[in-house]
Amino acid sequence: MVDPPRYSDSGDDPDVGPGSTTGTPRWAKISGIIALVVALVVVIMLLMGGNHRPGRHALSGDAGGPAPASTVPAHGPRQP
Amino acid sequence: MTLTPRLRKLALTAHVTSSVGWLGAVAVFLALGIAGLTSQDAQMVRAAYLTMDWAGWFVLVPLAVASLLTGLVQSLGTQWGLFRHYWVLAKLLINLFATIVLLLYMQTLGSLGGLAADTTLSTDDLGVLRSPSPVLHAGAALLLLLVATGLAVYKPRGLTRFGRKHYERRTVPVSQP
Repeated sequence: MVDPPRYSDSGDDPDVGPGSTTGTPRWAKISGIIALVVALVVVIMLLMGGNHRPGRHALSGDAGGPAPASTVPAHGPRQP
Repeated sequence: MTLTPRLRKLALTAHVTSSVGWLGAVAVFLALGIAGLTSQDAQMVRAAYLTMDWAGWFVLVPLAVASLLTGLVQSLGTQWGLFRHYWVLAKLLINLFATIVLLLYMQTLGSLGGLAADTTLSTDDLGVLRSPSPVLHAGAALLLLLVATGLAVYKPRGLTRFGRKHYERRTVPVSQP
């Protein structure tokens, strides 16, 4: 199998030669589709889970925890 | 604006350092998350969540922001540009997404750290801290940052529509009067 062409290894400048200006490469299309599917799955999980939002993980009763957010003691570097 | 070679090296060094440092810090977070989730030692569980809260603000967030800013300088200050190449665009999106999720997630880490610091909680009550959330978030972040690192090293070919127009404009010969 022939490796797809790469840019210069130096990374200093893009080596945009003939053929570089054709359409969207396959890797970009596949990555985009994977990203969309993952995003869709996450959104569905969030909608089904209902209470996934910042600050709720420890307080949502994962292990039967009773502590409402207001009872969590202020601490730590929340305002650095 | 194009950076001079010396400034470009400096910006690249800063970008690699902050990005790889961020990756390493996330790996440590994953280890702490696993310790907090699985350890039977109450002191270890408390220590894990307290460390995550502090290290989140003083290590993860600064490294994430530094990686984003140095990446912007690196792309805008060189011929790569920000929107011309798919791999640069993909890295930008990964970096932005991971930084935003991290900033939002710091609220959760603050809550977990607050509970861990509450000395009135008994060892049994500490069960509330055993959340898989830090492990899931750190694992997903590690995966994303590994992809970003791979993109930076391999630089797979591919110009965006914007990039194609940019290079086409540059290669069109100037018509002679």
